[in-house]
Amino acid sequence: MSESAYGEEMQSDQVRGWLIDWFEKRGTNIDKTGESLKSNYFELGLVDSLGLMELMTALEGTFHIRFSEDHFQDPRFSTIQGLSELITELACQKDSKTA
Amino acid sequence: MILGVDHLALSSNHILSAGLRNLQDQGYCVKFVQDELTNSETKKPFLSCYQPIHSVAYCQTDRGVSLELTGHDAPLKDRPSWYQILMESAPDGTKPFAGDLPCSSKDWEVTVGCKGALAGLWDPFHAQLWYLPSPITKKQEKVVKNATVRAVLVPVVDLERSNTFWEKGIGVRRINDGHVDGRGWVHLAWKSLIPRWSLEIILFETESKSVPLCLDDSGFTCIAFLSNNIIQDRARLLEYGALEASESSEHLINKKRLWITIARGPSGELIELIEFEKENARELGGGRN
Repeated sequence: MSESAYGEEMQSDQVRGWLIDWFEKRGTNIDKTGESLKSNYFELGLVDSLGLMELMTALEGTFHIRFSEDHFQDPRFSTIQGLSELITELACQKDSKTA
Repeated sequence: MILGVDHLALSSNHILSAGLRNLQDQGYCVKFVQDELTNSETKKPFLSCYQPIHSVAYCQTDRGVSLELTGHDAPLKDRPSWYQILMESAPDGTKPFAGDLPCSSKDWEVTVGCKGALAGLWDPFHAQLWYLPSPITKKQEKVVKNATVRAVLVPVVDLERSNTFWEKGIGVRRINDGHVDGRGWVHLAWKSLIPRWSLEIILFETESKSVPLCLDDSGFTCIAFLSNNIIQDRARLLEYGALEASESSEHLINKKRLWITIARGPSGELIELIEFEKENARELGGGRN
């Protein structure tokens, strides 16, 4: 595995951990290894409109990224697994621009 | 950034339990009713008869966009809605509508592929709308009501200008476009990950002149969008052709603090932007939908 791919995977793990914490602080138990990482949290009713705004604000602040309308319509946005990939991509893009 | 469609505003003289029951019968769940809400003075340019208070009832369905019933406590201006709404089926209390409308049944077929749309008047709200005929079912078969919004048609005076406003100002995506009987149309869609934040919108060229539409007209008067930065989004609407936009005003609705801006699009259509207070919002009662 290349150094950058290793770094990306580690970052994705960190983001996933952050997301799991965020959901658990709101009273949702997440099966960290199971299907719940791939479940659609909108369909499960775990995130409402206000919750989504809070989540976006927290993610943008924590990971120093900026979501666009395109990201918000990306199906990956609706699962913990997908969202952690998306955030990792955005963070890497930002890092490569600033490098 | 605009995140999705919050609701369509549906006017009423007063919020009456009969009206709410009618919406519940169509599969809507009444999330909250709030009387005696202060009407911000920033809304004055968008009302034909400003009243210091009004009432709202927020009605939600999992199958489509939410409706906000707005009781204006004043006589409504009686004319067909500028926004032409197509429902999946006729809501209870709908009777045939006869009168001039900015679009026809054929236009719905050409633009969104919905055949046989009929014009109706939703009597409990005196709201003109379109609906799709119900499929013929066997006598014993239970008919599941689905009087949800299928699409919204916006008559526009200048298609190019309006398209810029809706695509660039609001951020709705283009699906298709074409011409019918010499009039241009653009099919747009807001596709959100949350179905009730999604909406199909058709801009349809009309020869009618735009009229000063008001929030207290009868029928469907306004499309409300959720924003996570109302100041930035208001500026973007003005940059891409909004004729006017109110300064954002602060409200406390259903125990939640939020900001509202009303804007008028290039053809006079009314748009509302809503931003919820994020911090401490949970303590005030949780999400709206």
